[in-house]
Amino acid sequence: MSAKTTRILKEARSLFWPWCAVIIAGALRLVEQSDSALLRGGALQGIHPLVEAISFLGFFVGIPLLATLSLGNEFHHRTLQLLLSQPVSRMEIWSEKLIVTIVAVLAAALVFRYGQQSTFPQDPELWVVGGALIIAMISSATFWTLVARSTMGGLALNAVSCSIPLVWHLRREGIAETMTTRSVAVFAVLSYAGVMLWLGRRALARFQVTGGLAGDDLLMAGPKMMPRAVAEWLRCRSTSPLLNLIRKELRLLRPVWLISLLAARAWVHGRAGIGTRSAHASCVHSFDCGSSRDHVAGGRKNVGDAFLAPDPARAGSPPVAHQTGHSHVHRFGLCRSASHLAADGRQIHLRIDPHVREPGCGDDLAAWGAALELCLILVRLRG
Amino acid sequence: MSSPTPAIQVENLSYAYGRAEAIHDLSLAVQPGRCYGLFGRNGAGKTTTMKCLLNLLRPQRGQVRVFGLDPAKQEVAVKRLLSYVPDQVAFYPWMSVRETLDYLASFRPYWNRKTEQELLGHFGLDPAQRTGSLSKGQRTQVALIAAVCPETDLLVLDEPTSGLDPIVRREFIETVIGAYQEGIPGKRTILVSTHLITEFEGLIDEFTIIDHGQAVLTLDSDHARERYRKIRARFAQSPPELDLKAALRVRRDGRELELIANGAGDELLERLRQHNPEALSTESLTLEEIFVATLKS
Repeated sequence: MSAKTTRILKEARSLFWPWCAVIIAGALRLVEQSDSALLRGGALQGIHPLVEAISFLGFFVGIPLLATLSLGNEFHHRTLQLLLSQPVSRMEIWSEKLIVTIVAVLAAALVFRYGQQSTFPQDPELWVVGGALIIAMISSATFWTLVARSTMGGLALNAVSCSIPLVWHLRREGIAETMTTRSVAVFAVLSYAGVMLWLGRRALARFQVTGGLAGDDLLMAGPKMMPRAVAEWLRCRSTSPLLNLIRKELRLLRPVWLISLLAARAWVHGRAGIGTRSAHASCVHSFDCGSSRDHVAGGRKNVGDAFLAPDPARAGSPPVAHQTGHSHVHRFGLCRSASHLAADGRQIHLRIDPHVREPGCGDDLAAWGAALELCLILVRLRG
Repeated sequence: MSSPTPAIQVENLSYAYGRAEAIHDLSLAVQPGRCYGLFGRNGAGKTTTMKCLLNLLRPQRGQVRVFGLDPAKQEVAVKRLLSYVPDQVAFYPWMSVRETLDYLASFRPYWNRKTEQELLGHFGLDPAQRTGSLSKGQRTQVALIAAVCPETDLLVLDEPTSGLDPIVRREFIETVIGAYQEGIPGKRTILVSTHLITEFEGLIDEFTIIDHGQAVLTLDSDHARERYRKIRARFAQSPPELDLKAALRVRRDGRELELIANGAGDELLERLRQHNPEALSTESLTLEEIFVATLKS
């Protein structure tokens, strides 16, 4: 066995179990769509929401995790120093890790594609968006992991940064969807991927092993994370041991406080979203079940979105189904009703009205926004 | 005849972590075939210096050369010539000792399997055991095996004996390091940083004491032992008042006087003799005593 093969096998092995988990998450949809008697009125009939949640997590957490894990593992096990002190070029390390990551992520993505195929059978845009997202995730994983110096930090930064185009895609207003805008969007994402790939390669080439313990982790980075006044208040004193214990715990948990703060902000945004929605009490969910893409040329069609249009006339074709209080509308379109409609051979068009939002989706966007802010704060601190 | 290219050449090296300067204007040269000690207190800059040799850190000022090569520009070539045992040894926990050694061997053009087997037996390591379940000392042992087996020209050891029990520590120093250097005498170089100076006493040919990132003292070990001497004098009555400015340290204990001399031993001895001491003795300092005396003075 050649040296290169040994190293590639090591990389593959470090990804193997997480990869299996992601594959299983993707394959669950395939099992669910099968004609299993267990699922059709059997013991596992009510398993759908769980499958949906696992599938959602598998794609939106599992795929970026796979992309991040190859390098993140080195930080997690503190083996980057060992790796970088071996007589092998850093570019070779980078390329070996990238090869294994690409294979792992693409294999997982294919499973997800087949899992979702019956849900969105005729919508190339979904696959373009998904593909672009995956390319961006793989390309930027190295850079963000090196910035965060941990798997979790890299995963968070990677997921957040790659979600920016997705969030923009969902929220864009007043931009007609033409071939040109689509091409520009794809070009922008691919350019982003290219730049991030180059940045990641450069970051690894210049990477310095500055520390050894948890102090490396961006989330646990130095006292700069905390304002001076708060830090002073939390400083341990030579008296009051009980208070010192509490102060110490509060300081240790500082990333949690930061995340809580951001989550609180996201929640406030979410509440605002609910308020807006209440103002549109007449809101109805509509499915535009046409058979051709032309039907939606004038509208903003977003499969994989839970923002639904109140005005069916704007869909470009008369709706065949109106539902109120739809209980199965889920974020990113992992929707049972949708799959049923799709199974009938009809295309599903879910439309956005910028003024009417599902509360859950408001939370999503706010959370992404907050996470983006977190990312910017961390990057600034890092700088 | 021109002198051979130094195994390590560090010139005016400076490195800072943020505002904290770890090394300032450090210079040292290690000739091939020597065992060179880098002594210093915690945080003195020893690990930073070693990391600069491996391009794990990039010098902010000054330059580093390993066998005449620049680690930043010829990183792979430099790393082919050396093995490194870090102060904090970490391996992939899912790998066994056997897999870890095979994985590390895959990076090397040569790997001495015989030495590997001998050392595994010596340390009593089970090749099938996962590295995740090894103790700190056992991980260090694996790292030492991985450093010795490629038989590189330079061995860089950062606190290699920390975590090892006294028996293994002694065995490692005497057997492993000794055997490594004797493999090709005059060619294999060792750079070792340690607090346990006494343990390496017989091996160190030359050393540099670093304090606050700066070289305080660089000496050949034999020369150091000649230069640094402990003089003890016992007088019939309390010791006379003498001009002992040339002494590095003076300690009075009843009728006894103990001096540590730095290069002025003969002069101090002569001065003491003039006062007819009951007993007068002199002995060389150990490297550890030199280290302590230098940093305390």
